Amino acid sequence: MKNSEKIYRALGEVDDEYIPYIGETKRRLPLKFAAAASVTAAAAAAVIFTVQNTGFSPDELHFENTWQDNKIYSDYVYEKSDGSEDYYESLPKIPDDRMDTKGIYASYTAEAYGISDFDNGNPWDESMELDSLPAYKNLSLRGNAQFGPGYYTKEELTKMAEKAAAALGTSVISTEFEYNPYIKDHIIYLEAECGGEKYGVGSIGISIYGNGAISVSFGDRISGEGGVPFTDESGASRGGDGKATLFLAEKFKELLQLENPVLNFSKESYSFSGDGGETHFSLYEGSEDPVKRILNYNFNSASFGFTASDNAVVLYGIERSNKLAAAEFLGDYPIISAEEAKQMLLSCDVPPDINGSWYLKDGVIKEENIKKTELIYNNYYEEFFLPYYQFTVEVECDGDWITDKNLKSYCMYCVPAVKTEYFFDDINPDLDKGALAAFFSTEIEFPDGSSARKSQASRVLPSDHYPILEYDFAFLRFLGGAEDKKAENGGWIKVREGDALENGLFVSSADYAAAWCGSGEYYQNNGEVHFYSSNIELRGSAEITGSLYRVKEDGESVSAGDLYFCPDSSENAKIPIIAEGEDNTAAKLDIPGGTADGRAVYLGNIENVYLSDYLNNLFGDDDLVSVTLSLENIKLSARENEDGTRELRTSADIAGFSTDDYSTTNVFF
Amino acid sequence: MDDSRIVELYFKRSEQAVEESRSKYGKYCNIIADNILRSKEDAEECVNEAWFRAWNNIPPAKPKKLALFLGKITRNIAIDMIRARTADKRGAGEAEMCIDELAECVGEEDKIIEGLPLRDLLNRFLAELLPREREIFMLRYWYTFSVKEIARQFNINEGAVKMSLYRSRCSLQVFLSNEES
Repeated sequence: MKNSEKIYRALGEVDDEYIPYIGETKRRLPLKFAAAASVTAAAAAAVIFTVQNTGFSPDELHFENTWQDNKIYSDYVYEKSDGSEDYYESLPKIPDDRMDTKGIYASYTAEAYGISDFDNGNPWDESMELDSLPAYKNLSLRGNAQFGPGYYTKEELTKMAEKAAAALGTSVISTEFEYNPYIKDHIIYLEAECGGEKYGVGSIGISIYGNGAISVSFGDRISGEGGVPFTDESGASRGGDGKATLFLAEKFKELLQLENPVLNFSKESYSFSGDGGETHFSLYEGSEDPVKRILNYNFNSASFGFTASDNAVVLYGIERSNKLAAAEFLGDYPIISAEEAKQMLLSCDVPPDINGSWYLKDGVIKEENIKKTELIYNNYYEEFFLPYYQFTVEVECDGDWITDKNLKSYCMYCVPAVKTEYFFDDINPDLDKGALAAFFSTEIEFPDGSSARKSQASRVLPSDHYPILEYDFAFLRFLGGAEDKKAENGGWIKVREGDALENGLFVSSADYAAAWCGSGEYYQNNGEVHFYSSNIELRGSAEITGSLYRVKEDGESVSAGDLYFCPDSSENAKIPIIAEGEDNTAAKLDIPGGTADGRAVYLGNIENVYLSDYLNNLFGDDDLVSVTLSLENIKLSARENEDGTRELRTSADIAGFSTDDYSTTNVFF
Repeated sequence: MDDSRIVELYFKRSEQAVEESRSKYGKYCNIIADNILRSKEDAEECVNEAWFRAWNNIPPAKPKKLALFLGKITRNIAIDMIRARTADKRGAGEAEMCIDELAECVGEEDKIIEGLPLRDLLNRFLAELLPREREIFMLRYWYTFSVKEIARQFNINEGAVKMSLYRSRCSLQVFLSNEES
């Protein structure tokens, strides 16, 4: 057996903690594209790249809009600036944690035989006279990228699936939703099963992702008969003239909803041995307006997936996305020219070491090594969708693993197109940048649905695998705030030091901490943002009304003589509680000595403490008595233990008696 | 059903154990098998064999993490199947590509690694990787996801995935060289 196969097999026996459990959420329908693409690539022969000779223009394939009443995506917002000083002064500044390099960064490296391998259908060219370009806030970025974007609600996703199904001449038979287990109401994707009669396929699967990206998968493959045959020459597999894609644009125009589809092409990167480099075709919405054309090229597109089957090339799926429909228009920002961007790049002190063995020639970026300039939008999992000038710079690689010596190495450098004055560095200068970088998620999602950038933390505790961010605010809700009482008592309230609550209590301190967990017991969650701790101290007093109950007999987790205090949730709407359940509700939390369900308050064993003696004295021969307790100096805290369980602890002065730190006298809400 | 209850059913020799395993982890195992075999029929055959082996292995085995236990069995069967298939010259797939990639750092010879305690070495190697690099490495070489699939899961470009894998392979090469010497 080869060494490599031994390693491959031995990997199967490594400890469980290193194997990310992918559950059933990882395999999404679009993944089949890649699987099939590899088969296709293996089967296909080399072809001559002829797309530039198609003579195709958008006018030749203009579709009349017949889907006006069945539009899947809402139109994105783009309003040209009026050019006035007031307009530009009113533009919000954009946070950027790369301002030490003026926002310039090295994006990725790639191998190619020459700069022409980076040719694509980008509609931007340097002759365009653009003074400004729009910037957007990506509303679908939620938590870390692990689980994917989330923006649309369950109802919206369902509607989109129904519209997509109708556009394919079918209807939804059943749907399944995949939720992010860590963020409330964050739907990762919807999967809808539909009949495939119209196309003679067994079934059609439609997935709609949290950011609205659509993926259609056919149960059986569709051949090119009756139209343009799917061959290498028609661009179905690789290379060719892309006519197969244009044919399908017509065939599926009701689904794609592109009025003026424009053919786009790009090449996959080459492997170190020179494999790959296939040309792929896609479509984007054309426009007379050059800015809209650029936006559509970057965000509003569609593509088809082909695979080889029994020596024929067949269609197996469709992808469609319009990310700007789930983005907020921030404004039309003044931009610099490509030449100005180039000068910024040339004068920027970028590190010569790009990635391991890739280096800048002579240690600096030289103008002669800049081989290509493009204007692109960053459109991956970013907080803001912004225009960048991307410079393709020829670099050197000293690795001998590049077996095809004709390959050259390139690195993509991105320079913000928006003028520097519209950015601000929002990194707290006191934060440890290394620890911040080890915290992979860019945003933290809080229980009330709000979020904050990691760089807005007030403190960061460094660790290779467990960095912790601390914020100077926290969240509470009122007693009875479990899900069924949410409407009655309100949801989570964000509090800071000095805040006054409507029940008369004052917040004397508040903090909330989140941890990036990427090792040990948590690794099976694939590296996650976890709740770490939350602490709130309150000054003032509050009354809590309820019943005292004495346990008669020993039972599970309780002993005879234990006292339980059960507040009346209908009478105690303004008693603050803090909780971090799996779904951010106050329900069903394990606590030492018992459980709390968001309403029950456990006061501990009467044998142990003075306070309980006091409470015990309230009993006569009864088992249940009604009492009103006065709470003062309330401290609420929640934290995650090493074993992953969450512990809630609340201490207070109760009924004039001070509690101490022992759990038997603490009040757990 | 809770994993411990399913394992209990295996111990009681209740055939419901297989049904519960299939119901809870069928899709998961199918992903693993399909990633390696790239054939719906072969994947089904592989996963069916996995239930049979789980039945024979529990007891005495008492897995703490049933999903990974079943996943490992599935992976081993799938690798055996792809090996047999390759011998039949029925074509290679993603698994062969993974093995070829690993050959970049350990070579294609069949003797160098003789005698090395590979499992322990790999555990130590994986412990040293950064969490994200480790996950990408394992998605590629444990689950046999393609580079493009991984890129989609992380919402990063393929170049970034290749780069991460390349770095990890280089680290593995250095790690193994140090051990051999």
